[in-house]
Order: sequence, then C-alpha cells, then structure tokens
Amino acid sequence: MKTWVVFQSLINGLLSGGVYSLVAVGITIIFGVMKMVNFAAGAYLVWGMYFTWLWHTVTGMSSYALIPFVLASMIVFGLITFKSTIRQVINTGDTSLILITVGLSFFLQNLAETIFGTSPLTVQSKIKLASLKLGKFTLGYPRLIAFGVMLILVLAVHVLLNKTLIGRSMRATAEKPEVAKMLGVNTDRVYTFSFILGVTLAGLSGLLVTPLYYVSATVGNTFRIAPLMVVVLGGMGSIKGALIGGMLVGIVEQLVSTLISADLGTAGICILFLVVLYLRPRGLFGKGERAA
Amino acid sequence: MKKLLEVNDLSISFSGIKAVQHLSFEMEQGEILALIGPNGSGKSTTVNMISGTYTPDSGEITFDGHLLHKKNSVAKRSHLGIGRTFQTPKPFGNLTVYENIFAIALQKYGFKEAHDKTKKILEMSRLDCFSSIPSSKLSIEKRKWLDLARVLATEPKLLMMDEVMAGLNPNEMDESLEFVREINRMGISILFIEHVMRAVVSVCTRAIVLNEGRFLFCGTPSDALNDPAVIAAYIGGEKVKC
Amino acid sequence: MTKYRGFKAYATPKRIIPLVLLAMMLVIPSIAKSNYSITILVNCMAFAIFGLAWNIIGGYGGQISWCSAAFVAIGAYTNYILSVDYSISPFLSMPLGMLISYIMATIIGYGTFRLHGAYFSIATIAFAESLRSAIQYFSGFTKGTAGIYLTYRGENLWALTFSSDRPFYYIMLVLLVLAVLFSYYFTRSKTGHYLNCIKGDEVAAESLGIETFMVKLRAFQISAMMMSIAGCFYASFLTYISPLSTCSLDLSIKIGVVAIIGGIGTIWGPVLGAFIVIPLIELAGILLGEFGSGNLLYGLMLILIVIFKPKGLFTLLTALYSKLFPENKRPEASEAVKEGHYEEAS
Repeated sequence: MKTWVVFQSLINGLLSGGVYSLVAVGITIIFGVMKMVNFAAGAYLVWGMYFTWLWHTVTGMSSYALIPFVLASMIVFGLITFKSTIRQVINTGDTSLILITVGLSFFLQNLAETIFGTSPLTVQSKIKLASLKLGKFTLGYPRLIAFGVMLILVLAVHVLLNKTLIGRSMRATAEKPEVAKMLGVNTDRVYTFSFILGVTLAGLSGLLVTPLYYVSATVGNTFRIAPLMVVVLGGMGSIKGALIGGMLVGIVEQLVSTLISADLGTAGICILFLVVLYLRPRGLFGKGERAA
Repeated sequence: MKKLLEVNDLSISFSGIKAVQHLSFEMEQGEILALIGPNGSGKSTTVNMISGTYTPDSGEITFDGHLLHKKNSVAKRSHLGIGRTFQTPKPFGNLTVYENIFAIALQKYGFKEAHDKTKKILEMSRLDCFSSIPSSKLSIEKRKWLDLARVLATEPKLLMMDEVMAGLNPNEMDESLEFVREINRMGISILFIEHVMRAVVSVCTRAIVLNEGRFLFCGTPSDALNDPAVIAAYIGGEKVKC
Repeated sequence: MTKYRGFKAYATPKRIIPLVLLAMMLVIPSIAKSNYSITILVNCMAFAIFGLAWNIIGGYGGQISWCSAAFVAIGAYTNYILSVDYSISPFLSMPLGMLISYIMATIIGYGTFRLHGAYFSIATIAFAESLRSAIQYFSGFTKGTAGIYLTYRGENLWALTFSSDRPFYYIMLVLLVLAVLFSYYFTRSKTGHYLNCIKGDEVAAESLGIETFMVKLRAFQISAMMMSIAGCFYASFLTYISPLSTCSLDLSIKIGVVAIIGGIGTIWGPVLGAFIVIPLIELAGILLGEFGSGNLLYGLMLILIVIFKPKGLFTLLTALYSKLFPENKRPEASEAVKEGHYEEAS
C-alpha cells in the first residue's frame, strides 16, 4: 500500500513541479541576461491567471485555446511594467534591482486584488477533474497537459537561445554585455525582450494552473517562493537546472506533504534547498561567473 | 638577516592554464624586492597566493617562520603581518579618508590610540588635508596613496605593492618612490610588483624575473635588465611559446 | 579639561530635535482622544524598532535579509507559549527568546554568509519559511495555524496585560529610545566600523585583516536579538499571534521596506520610514477599502523610492536640515580643491 502512495506522490510531484520549472525558467532567463532575480514572478503568474479569466469571460473559450490571447496580454503587460519601473534602474546596482522587483511583486499582486476583487474566481474547465489512469496510478489531465506544455515551451526557449539571432544576442549579453554592445547588440532591446519572455512564461504558467486553483491573488503566495528556490537550487542562469530543479522540488514537496505532513511541504523544499546549497554553493548546474 | 618569506616550489593552474609553475624564491627582512616580468607571467597570481586569496596546488609558503596553510585565511595572514595593495585601488568609498585608516587601526588599538596612529599615518602619507573628504572623491594617485596608508595601519612586516606606479606622471612617481623608501625605513619589507622599470631600478635592491609562471632570473635590477634571457622574455625574441 | 562653552554649544539642532520629538511623544497619550491613534503609534514604534534592528545587518552591513519575521516570531512565540501554558512573565521569556534567536541567527549565518546578493536573500527566505512550517507542524506546542490568544490576566505589568493600549505606548517608547541609542552606539563601535568597511569593499576589508564572516555574523546576531525583544513586547500588545501573522515573508519584507523607504543605513531612516509608511497604509485601507490596498500602496512606494530616492526619504530631511542650519565649509576641503587633487562630485 505504502509504495503505491509513494509512487503516486512522485508522479504528482513531477507534474506539479513542471509548473515550478516553467516559472523558474522564466526567472532564469531574466537572471541570465540581466543579472536580476525577478522576485515578482509569482505576481506575473497571478496576472496570467486573471488574463485567462478575463478572456474566458469575454470569449467563452477554454483556457488552453486562450493561450494566444494570454500570450499577447502578457507581452503588453510585461512591456508596460518593465518600461515604467525596472528600465529606470537597470544600471544602479544589484540592491536596487532586488528591491524594485520586490516592490513590483507587492504592487502587482495587490493591484490584481484591487481590480478584480478578493473573491476567488473560476475559469470553467471541462477537464478539471478528468484524469488518465495507468494501472494503479492516476494522472490528472490538467497536470499532465501543464507538464506537456511546459516541455514544449522549454524546448522552444532552447531553440530560441541557440538557433536564432535574438537568442545569440541574449547569450552574448549574458556573458559580456560591454563586448556585446561593442559588437552592435542593442542591449536595451535584449533586456526588454528577455524580461518580457521571462514574465510571459510566468503568465502562461498561470494559465496552466487555472484548472487546478481558484483564480485569486493569494495563489501568488504559493508560487512566490518555490520558483526562487528552484532557480538557485538548479544553479542561477542554468535553464537545465531550472527544469530539473523544478521537478525535484515538486517531487520533494509532494512526498513530504503526503508522507509526513502537509504543513511541512514548504519546509521540505527549503531544507532540500539549503542542503543542496551547502553541498554545492553554485547550485546543481550553476556556472558561477557573474553570480548575483 | 632573518628570512622573512620563503616560497618553495609553488604551482597553481586555473582551468588547465598553468599560471605559476614550481616557483621558489626568498626574501630577507628589510629588503625591497622587485617582482617583474612580462604580462601574464604570474606576478599578481603569486601575490594572491602569498596573501591567501588563492590556494596553491602544490608548494609551500613560509612567512616569518610560520608555514602558511589553506586555513590561514586572507584576514589571518594580514594579522600575521602580510599586507598588500591592489592594482586598481580599493578605497572604502562610503567612508572618508580618515575613516578608511581609522577603521583599520581599530583592529590593533583602542579608540584614542587608533586616532593618534591615524593622524600620524595621514601626516606621513601627506593625506592629512584630505582627511574628511569621502574617499570616493579622490583622484587615482591619491587613492593609491590611501591604499598604502591604510595598509600601514595594519603594521605589516611585508607589504606587497601591486603596480603602484602605473599611470603616474614623473613627479607623482618620484613622490611615491620617496614614500616607498620611507615605508622601508620604518622596517617594512616590500615586494614590489612593477612594470615601470625606472621605479624598479630606483628603489629595489634585488629583482626576481618571472616568465610564463616560471622563475627566470634573480639579481640586481640593472643585471636583470641586461640579461639576454630577460630581454628575450619581454620582447618575445626567439623563444617558442607553448 | 575643556572649558564649559555655554549652553549654545551643546544645544546643537542635531541634539535638540530628537529631544523635542521625544517630549512630544511623551505628551501625546494625554492629549489623544481615541485609542485608535494610540494603536497606530504603537505600530509605528514597533516597526521603527524592527527597522532599526534590520538596519544593523541590512543597512550597515549591506546584506539584504528577508528573514526578520523569523526572529519576531521567536520572540512572540516564546512569550505566548510560556505565558499561556506556564504563566511565565514576558520579561522572563524575553531573554529566552533572545537566546533562541541568537542560535537561529548563528545557524542561518553559517548557512548563508558564503553566499552573496540574491543567493543570500533567497536563502534567508528559505530559513524563515522553514521556521513557519515548523511552527505550523508542531501544533501541539504552538497551536499551529490556529494561532494563540493571550490570556488576559487583569491590569498586570509583570504579565504585560492591560485594559487599554496606553501602557504599551510607553513601553514601546522606552524600547524605541533604547533601540535608537543602541544603534547610535553600534555605529560607533568597532564592529560598526568594520561593517562599514565590509560594505565599502569586502575584498579590501578582508585583505586588511577584517574577518568579514565573523563581523557579519555578529551584526546578524545582534539584529536578530533586537528583533526578538521587540517581537516579544509587540506580541503582548497584539494579544493574538499565528504563524502567518508573525512569521510571514510579507512581514519580513515590510520590515525591510520600512527601513529602506526611510533611509537605508541611517539611524533615523527606519524611524522616519515607520512613521510615514504605517499611517499611510492605514489611510490606504480606509480610502481604498480593506484587502491588499495597504500592500498595494507600499509596493508602489518602494518602487518610487528605488527609482527616485534610493537613499530613502531621510535624505530629504537632511537636505532640509542643511538649508536651515548651514554649517561652515570645512577649510581642508577648499584647500584640496585648490591643489587640484579633489575631483568634483560625480
């Protein structure tokens, strides 16, 4: 009996970790290029959820069909928030960047609450409770789809970074911005693009979890902390690290919650995080240079 | 004369690049020893190994009779009497010139004595008229002097100066050289890393030449500058670089 | 022995202003009509003390930590558990809270000080969240997520329960004065000087003999203990605590933000920050409606401050001060300008 529970938790954890991975990849991209940790990722996820709800209310389409709409909304939203806040302080030092994203996190999360109210909303989803049964194990469709979409998106990001011009510009700026600038890379545009890409991934994560959570600003609190740990644990600036780290964190969280206590889920993540950091201060796949 | 510093068969490599290989040399107390060599010859790396910033892959460093271990951190080695300045000066920009020196002097003395020591150092380094100016506002030459003044507050036995003369005009250089001599007269031994040969010839009694991480030559500065191998190393000559 | 230079020489504006403010603070409870204003002022003072404690490591040390709430929670929970279950006075549980905070800070320090910047900040979050989880889990001890209500023991100073908020006002005021004096003393201590050096250039400080890890750890321990003391007394004022109210990331951030908005690395900055931000949040709550509006406002304030006045609002006051009380230009400065060694302000 117990082994089945363990394996089921493992599967659930792997799948829910996928969402952490997606948000973490977004944070990693932003960090890699701008050397800034986006503490507001959770808030952008919340806005992704609200945009999904908005478009759902207007068009009646299911959340997955709304991906292009939410994508567009997140791009515009990201652009506006970036230009009005972060852009102003890009060169003023690490502390400012930490503080401004923290400020953004509070502001955006509570802005959503102020605009949309505090009662939780729902995005109707036909597959919310549907699941795939494999032998003794149940794989919930929403989680499965979320995981699948995540893999597709991460693959797309990988292709973007390695095979496109903008991707190469991003990598150049990440390594040596001064040199990139001299070689003609418009670093300003690269920063803007990277930030928008990062928060769009967070917003899409929000869309992916609408079947699983009520649409509410407090969801941001759940996703505020874990992705940050994932990013550091996986190694700052490593997408592979964010991917694997997310799944690892998801698994540990599920295992601890199911086998020991739901209360200790967060503690489980934190302890995993601290142990990994103690053994490998750079994270699992961290590169080290130009660390925060 | 007592041997102050003994470097024995020191080697270190970074990511496969052998920065320093089997380097050995000695310093006597009271010397002003020059450490020279072309760019990339391992001079700063050697200083970093002595100061504790880098840990050598092999070899030993003995300072003032103490064998230095990895666990002798940078700060602990400063307490033993090893001091250094940096190629690019590193003032405590958020503090005034006075506070830069005072804070360091506090490590050895109480407040009143530290104040007196600081005043003396400010006079000696001719920075006393700048004492309440934020150190971030100093010009480059004065920052180098502040670096020196500040490390003097640690009362070092060995002072490693990393390219102090770079970027100075002839007047400033003469002043700095006089400062160096004064420091030496106080009984402090100096390891002088330099590119500017005029300075080396002017104050150093002995010079060690490095090339590509290895020991090349040891002798008086003028001998070093006339040695064919040394000249070849600097110009590139017929030496095949591997 | 210096001659007595007359009252004027001692009564510099820098010294008079705080004394005037203190006098005002002492008088307010007698004039204030509603309990509400007293409550707000107690909150202001509590956050001023938290901010001062945060500043010790955050402002002077340059290490932005997000785990302050953990120490507040330790102070609060030691107080409540010992008061409610064992009838022990908060005055006695306070030292215990300090000890636990000291130990926790040491553990956190060893776990995080090897890390820098964002790594450090995130690691502090990890520790604080672990503590919150632990508080929820060990509910036999801590009543878990439900929280604890303080048992009222009548008008009792030793148990710190009162029928009105006024006594808490004076207690907090005393603590605030002590916190300010301590911060003042700290900046002038050896550790304070070393911390400044580390903030200026950590590598250089290390090369000059400053054991940066030990200095930062000491500052962190001090900060934690201050936080714990304030948390203990503040908890008695609150009469109800829960893991989310005392050990949340939101609280940690709020504490740091108050100090930053006021003026990071200054003594009066956190005090100013608290007395501006806390009432503003209350105001926002009234004007914009309950939930989240407070956080909305102070998220916005943080953004604005970082963009426009990163050194904090206190710089506005110091600028005002220099206009009102111009000091003589230092002679050394002008000589240096003449000699051409002094580069113009960038």
